[in-house]
Amino acid sequence: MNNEQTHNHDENCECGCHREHHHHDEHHHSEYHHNEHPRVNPAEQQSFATIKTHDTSLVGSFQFGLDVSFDEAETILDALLKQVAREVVALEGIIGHIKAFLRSEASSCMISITEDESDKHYSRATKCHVEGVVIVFGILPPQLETILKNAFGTYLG
Amino acid sequence: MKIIILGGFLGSGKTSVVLQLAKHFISKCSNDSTKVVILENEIGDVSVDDKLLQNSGYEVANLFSGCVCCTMSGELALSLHRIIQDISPELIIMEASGVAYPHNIVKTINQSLPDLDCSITCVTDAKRWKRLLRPMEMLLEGQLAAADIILINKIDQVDQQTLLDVEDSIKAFNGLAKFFKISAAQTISPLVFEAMLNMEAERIN
Repeated sequence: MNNEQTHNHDENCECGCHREHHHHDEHHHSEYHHNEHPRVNPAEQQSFATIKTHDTSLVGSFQFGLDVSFDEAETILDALLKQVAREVVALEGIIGHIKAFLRSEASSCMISITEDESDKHYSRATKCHVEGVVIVFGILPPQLETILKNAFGTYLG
Repeated sequence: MKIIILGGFLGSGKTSVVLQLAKHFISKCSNDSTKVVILENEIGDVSVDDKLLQNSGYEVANLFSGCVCCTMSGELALSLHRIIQDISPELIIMEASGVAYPHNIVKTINQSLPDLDCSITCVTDAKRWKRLLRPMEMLLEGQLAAADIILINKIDQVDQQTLLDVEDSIKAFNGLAKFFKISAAQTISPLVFEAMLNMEAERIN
């Protein structure tokens, strides 16, 4: 999985993620090692996907952009999440939940009047942003990684 | 000030209940939205539920990338102190992650804020209960064990016999809680919310 801000994972990295992981109980919550780190800053709209374990659950997190209208993005995302669900079930995994939040830049409109009629210039939003989580049980981290790649690989860059 | 911990397995409908509970409580407080704060806990590297709640106009604090019943218990205590100091709401709704054990959260809160009126409501999913019971039994049992109130959700999606079976099965884990059958996709009876809000008074009586 690609990440625009990929960097090597070590205890000296300054992204803050590793510091947080050190608070975790190793027996309860551990990170599946990837070559990438999430830098969770929706404003920058970076793409990433990560997988962690928590007790017996696998937690996949993802974030990416979709350069389409909101309606189109809704259709695409719905299909992608259903694809994830199908692949988890096909591996006899148990779905805890699969959920994502989709938002788009707001549409805008400029209205100008010089005499009595108004002139309108629209800017339709064509950029959407997705943040989501997949929590499943009964499959292995590499299997979830493959599932996330299959579904979101195109959009992760 | 009271805190309601809303526990229950992933996908059981906790966030839907939170939305309606917050609306119910705010309507009792002259629509002053600062009277309730929702504290969300999600274990993923991104948060999803808090965005929905914030878009609905509620005060939301979020603890994500870990579980407050275990790995982030310190952060929970800090967040609660901050909410009390900065906002001082009448009600804090703590939505636990779907893999949390609510009694552990109560323990953390009691250690840090012993005077806080704290109760547990557990949301269960009638539709998926039978399917989840065997593989997830320990977690489900742990989530139900200390609940004061248990909401059996999604009753509109199961037949009568399934609902009876689910109810019996859930009561085997906790027969002392108050039970309500709901469909959080529709309007929940105010009686349910009043029971959740008055749990401490009932316990004392």
